[in-house]
Amino acid sequence: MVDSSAAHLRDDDHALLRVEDLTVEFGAGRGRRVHAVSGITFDVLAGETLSLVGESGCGKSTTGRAIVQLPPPTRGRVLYDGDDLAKMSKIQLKKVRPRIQMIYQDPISSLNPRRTIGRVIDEPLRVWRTGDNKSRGRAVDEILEAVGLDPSAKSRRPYEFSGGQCQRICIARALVLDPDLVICDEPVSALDVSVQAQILNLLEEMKERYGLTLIFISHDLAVVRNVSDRVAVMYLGKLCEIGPPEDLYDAPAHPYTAALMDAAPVADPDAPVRQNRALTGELPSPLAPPSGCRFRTRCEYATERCTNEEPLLRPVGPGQDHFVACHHPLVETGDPEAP
Amino acid sequence: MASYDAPADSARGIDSSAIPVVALPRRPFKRHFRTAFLALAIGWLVLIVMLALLAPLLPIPESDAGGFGVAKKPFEDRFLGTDQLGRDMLSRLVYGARMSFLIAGASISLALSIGVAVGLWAGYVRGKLETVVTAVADIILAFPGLVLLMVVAALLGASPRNLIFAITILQVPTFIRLARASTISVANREFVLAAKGSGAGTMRIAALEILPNVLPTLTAYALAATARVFVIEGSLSFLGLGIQPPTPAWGSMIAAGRPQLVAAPHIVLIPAISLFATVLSFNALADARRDSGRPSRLIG
Amino acid sequence: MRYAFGRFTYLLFILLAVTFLVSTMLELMPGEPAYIIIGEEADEEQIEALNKRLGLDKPVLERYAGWLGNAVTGDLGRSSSGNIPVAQLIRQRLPVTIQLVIGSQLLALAFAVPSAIYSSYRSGGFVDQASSAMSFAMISVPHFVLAVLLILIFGVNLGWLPTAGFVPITENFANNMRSMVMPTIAVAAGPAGIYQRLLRSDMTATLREDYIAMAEAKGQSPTRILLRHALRPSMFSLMTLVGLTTAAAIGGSVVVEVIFGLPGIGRLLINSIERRDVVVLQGVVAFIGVGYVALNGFVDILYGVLDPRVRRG
Repeated sequence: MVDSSAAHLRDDDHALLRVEDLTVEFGAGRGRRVHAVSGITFDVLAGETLSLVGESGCGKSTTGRAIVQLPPPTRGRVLYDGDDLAKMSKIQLKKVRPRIQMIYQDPISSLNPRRTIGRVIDEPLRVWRTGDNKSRGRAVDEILEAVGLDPSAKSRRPYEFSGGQCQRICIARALVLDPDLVICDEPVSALDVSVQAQILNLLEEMKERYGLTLIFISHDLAVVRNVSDRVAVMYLGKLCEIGPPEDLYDAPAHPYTAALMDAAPVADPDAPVRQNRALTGELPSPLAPPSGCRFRTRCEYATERCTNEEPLLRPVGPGQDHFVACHHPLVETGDPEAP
Repeated sequence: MASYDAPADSARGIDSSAIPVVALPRRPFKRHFRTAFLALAIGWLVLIVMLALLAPLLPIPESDAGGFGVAKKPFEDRFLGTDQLGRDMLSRLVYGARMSFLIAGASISLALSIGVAVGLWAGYVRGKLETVVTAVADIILAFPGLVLLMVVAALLGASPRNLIFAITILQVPTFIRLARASTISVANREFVLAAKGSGAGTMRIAALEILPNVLPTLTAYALAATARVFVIEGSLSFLGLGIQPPTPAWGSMIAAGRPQLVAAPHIVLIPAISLFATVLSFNALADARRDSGRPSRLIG
Repeated sequence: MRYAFGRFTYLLFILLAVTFLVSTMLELMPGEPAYIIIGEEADEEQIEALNKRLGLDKPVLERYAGWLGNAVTGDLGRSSSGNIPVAQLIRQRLPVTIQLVIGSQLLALAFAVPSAIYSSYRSGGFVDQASSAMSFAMISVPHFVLAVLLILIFGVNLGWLPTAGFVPITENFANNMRSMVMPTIAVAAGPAGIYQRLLRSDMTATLREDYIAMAEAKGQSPTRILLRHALRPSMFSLMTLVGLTTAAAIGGSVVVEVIFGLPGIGRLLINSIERRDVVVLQGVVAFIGVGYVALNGFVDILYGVLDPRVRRG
């Protein structure tokens, strides 16, 4: 598998996480394999918020889980602070775990229904035997207040709380070990719209307060725009485009990104009716992804070159940080060798 | 109070925190009836267990004293009358309960412990152990239990120890199966993943995350299984293959009372009704335990 | 079809394991087999003769192979008393037990299905509550208790039915029915309660589904909806349950046969236990075990064939 070029990777010294040629494949019986993630490479700088967007099934959630090695990827390197997580022994990996935490999509099933909230948040501290009962109790109180819940919630069970409150509890649990990197897998998709904003604000606040680096996985473009420093678009296990949100949203270079942007509704009744660049065709099966550029079966600009040659990430546009993997991008590339 | 299906509701735009979770009875009468019934069941079990436990301390004659008596109806001389050999029915009832509860209690507790331990392991860690365990369980389950018990009891002797041993072996496979299935479904839930992410080890996750979620189903089943063991043990002693005389057992009391069915029906009826009540109570508890695990919702 | 074959091989393996355990039963148990059979006062000669007759002097596998070889051709040995072929004994007794088991299952279904359908239709109503209570009572009463009570009421006090004895169906139909009524009820009660509860809860759940509301909106009659649409999905689980319970009823009918003096397999089993007739015992237990496994296996395979989801799952 050809992996995307490294043109979009930045200076080693500041990257907290770097993923190289990450590949996740599952057996699907009778010799077939599901190509969930096929050789993606990207990095995240300390203090940055990187968003991974794409339709359902594009592999973004799988990527998130592969980073924390649950389960470990089929191939590729996951370099956290310079060390490859994929190559670590079980014991070494366990030691790193407190530094990378994850928040999941369904807040209610992320919590053990038969335990009290206090114990749920306390548990990671107990696993690592941090402090004694008193200091742990204080830590739990502190973190509960930080996420906007009353410490008296400690003795209650998950079913007594609403979805939004449960997600706060999950955030508290993730933060109690003082991680550096937090991966948020569709953290607000299961919540009411009014609650979504609260949780997003909370995440921002926590990021500031605890100096976190975030990887934000979502299919909701509106949500992503406001929180991200950098956005990466995935399609069928591959990285299509990566860059700052302003560039991607206002001047997308990849046809897929453009179609996504067009499809997102604009909350402005006076906005002019746009001509949507419609997506044709169906999502191909991850069991047999198209050759060359995987998006070619639905792209109106596809040529023969797209069938034969897989596009690599190349710089594009006026800015410094915008890259696209396409043979016929919608924006002028900065690469003098491009056709 | 949050509703059970918050995410689904959120997706539909319903603020589920406003809808309370309530178990609505069809009619108030039925609800009271059920609770009263359950209270009766618990009451009966408490009574009979207390009597059984305190048997040696109670002011009742020895269960096999008599020997040359004549059957006396209840309230004639003794509280529950005597059997055809003049033995006091109340004391025979109580000592019989002692034995039955001992056997049922011991075998179910053993089966539950073994079943949970093995089933949890098979369901969570999986691997070769799982295949072996399921195959062995299938083989044991392939036998009609009562038949096997009769054979074992007949050939090996029906001491309480043997009975407990044999009954436990027959009950273990179903517990293993149930525990394994439960474990597999729980292990896929996100909070287990979250626990792994926090760095918890296998043992810790199995004990603290999975076990508490598996136990409710298993205890409900254990209660129903206890009821069944009472019936099994009763059948065995009825056939003379269970607890041997002179120790009284409800099953053998029923068998012994058959010839007197016309003249002195109380000899059969007292143990029969007690057995029925005990089995009924355990089933009622099992039902209640099972229902409490699933909150019912207001629909629509 | 591949599914059926796979299950079949697995079942065969189980059958072999079961029959192996049965035929080596005596050795597995602690204590000298001869003492168990003859008693403590057995002398050298008797022990030797017994061991020879039962083939206990040969190695286990050889004995099992021999037994299996014979069994497959229908020879299960001969009884100690009377030297009658075991296979013949079983053949003689089988019809009685089969009549009891099948009859009780039919009776159980005859009670369970109509009352479950009506209860799910008018759920919460009198019929529902009454039959739920009845079912609960029925699953809680041990069959031998029920049998004794039935005898007390119908046989003794009212004198309607004979309290024991059996008349073959070929001889006199009416008398056969009379002698089988109470035993059948005694064995049917438990399963009847189980079926009723399962079917009722299944159907109540099904009736809540959207496609039922759709059928109602189309104006179909309640009977049609109940029978054609609501009953169908539940039939599967009920069928499997019937299969399993029939197999278990074999064990249950043992006690009932003893109480009512019916000459069935169960009685044969008890007698062989009392007489310490090991050959008969082994043959009968093996027969019951095989029948049990075969029946369960058949239900399994049937289920897999009828419900494609099971195969792929």
